[in-house]
Amino acid sequence: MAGTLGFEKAMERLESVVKTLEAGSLSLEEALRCYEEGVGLVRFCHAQLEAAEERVKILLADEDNSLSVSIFDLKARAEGGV
Amino acid sequence: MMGRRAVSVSELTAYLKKVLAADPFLQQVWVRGEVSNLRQPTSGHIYFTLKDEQAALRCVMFWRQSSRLRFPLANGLQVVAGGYVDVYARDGQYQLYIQQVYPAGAGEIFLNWQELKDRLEKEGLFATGRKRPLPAWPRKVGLATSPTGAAVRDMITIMQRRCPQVEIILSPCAVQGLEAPEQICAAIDRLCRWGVDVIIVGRGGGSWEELAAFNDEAVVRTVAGAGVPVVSAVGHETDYTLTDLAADVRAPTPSAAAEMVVPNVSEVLVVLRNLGVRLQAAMDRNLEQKRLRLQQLAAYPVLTRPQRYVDGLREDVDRAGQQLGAAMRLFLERKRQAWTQMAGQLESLNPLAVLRRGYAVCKNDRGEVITAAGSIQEGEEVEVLLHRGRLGCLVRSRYQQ
Repeated sequence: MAGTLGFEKAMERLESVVKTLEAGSLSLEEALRCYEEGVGLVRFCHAQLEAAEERVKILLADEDNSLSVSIFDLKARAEGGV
Repeated sequence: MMGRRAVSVSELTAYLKKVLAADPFLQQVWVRGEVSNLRQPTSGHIYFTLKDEQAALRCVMFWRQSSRLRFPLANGLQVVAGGYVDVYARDGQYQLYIQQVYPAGAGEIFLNWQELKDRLEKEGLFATGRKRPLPAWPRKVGLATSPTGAAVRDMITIMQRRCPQVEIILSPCAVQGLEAPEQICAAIDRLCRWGVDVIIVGRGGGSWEELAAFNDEAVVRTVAGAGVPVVSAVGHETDYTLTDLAADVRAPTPSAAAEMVVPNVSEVLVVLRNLGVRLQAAMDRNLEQKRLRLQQLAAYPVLTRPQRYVDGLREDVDRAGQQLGAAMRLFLERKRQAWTQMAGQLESLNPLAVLRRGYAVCKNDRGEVITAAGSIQEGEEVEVLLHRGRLGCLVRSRYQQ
């Protein structure tokens, strides 16, 4: 369920799930369902935040104006100066 | 006013002043020329003549304006002066009353800039209503800037520190020089085609000339027309470029732009941790409430000591049965009393009851009760009803009353 959401939506959903559960007028089944969903969302968001990946790409257009990306090496470029 | 009659010099001059004042072009005009006959008396006002090959124009710059001059005026200098044309009545001279003056090169650049700004503003390119909010959680951030230099390095470093998950797409372009405008436009266009959530366009600071590309009409239009929100990061805190005006958000520096565009993940982690804690606490509380409720229900005597409950019921039934019997008896007693009373009443109303006391009823042979002696003939037979039994009698005589 969480996987189909973006991070932002997942956070929003989590917030509303927590609020619903905090309101405390749920049946046991509903509460358990809320809790389960909430735990899933926490895990999902956490995974998203932990996924640290150096992802800098450089975007260029070829002769025929088609686009291509390649890894951008910041350090090698920085040496080059202006 | 201008009839056949001669007018006074003052009248003509006043008329000319009125004509000039009514012309909007003359009220806000920029004039290019060479400074000559420069005089600056102790009053602080500046007087000079602007000239070119064919003509000369007297100019005045009052103290209020001349005190704000950013460069020294000198004879022979090419300048662009802006102000209004009016007649100086005493000398019969028309003059340019200068409000702003720039050295010719810079002045013209400024004028072109001003003209472009006014034009695009009228088109609504800078309107507040056009500004789009930045996405809160961009997945892909596009950079349209030079791949070398401090600006791109700062932006990438800051974004990766704040949000390591974000994908950064650098679309390289020259940011100064003649080719810069076209390259900046192409870079933004590539990012839009590739698909990013937000674009930062900019460069580290620079002189006005170095920022020229960001005042280029094509660049400004590309920024305004981009399919995703654009943050301008032309590192120049004091002046602004037209790109700044057209962008959805203006950042004072590239670093500031990087901070605006991506969230700080460590802050988000705190929020997420809080939500996790709240989720757990809410669930615990929820279960605790249900457990308590269950305990309360389980503690009811009906569940703990059902026999007592049945005993209680039995007693209730017993009492109800007694009440029922009493009620029934009372009911019957009342009915009986009512019956007795009614029988007594009925008895007292029975007309034959008086016979018991010695009265008798006399009827003729048709069974009609005789109440008057005149209603019967002598010799007729009558029947007399007594308390017990009847008599057959013969009427011997009548005594009418």
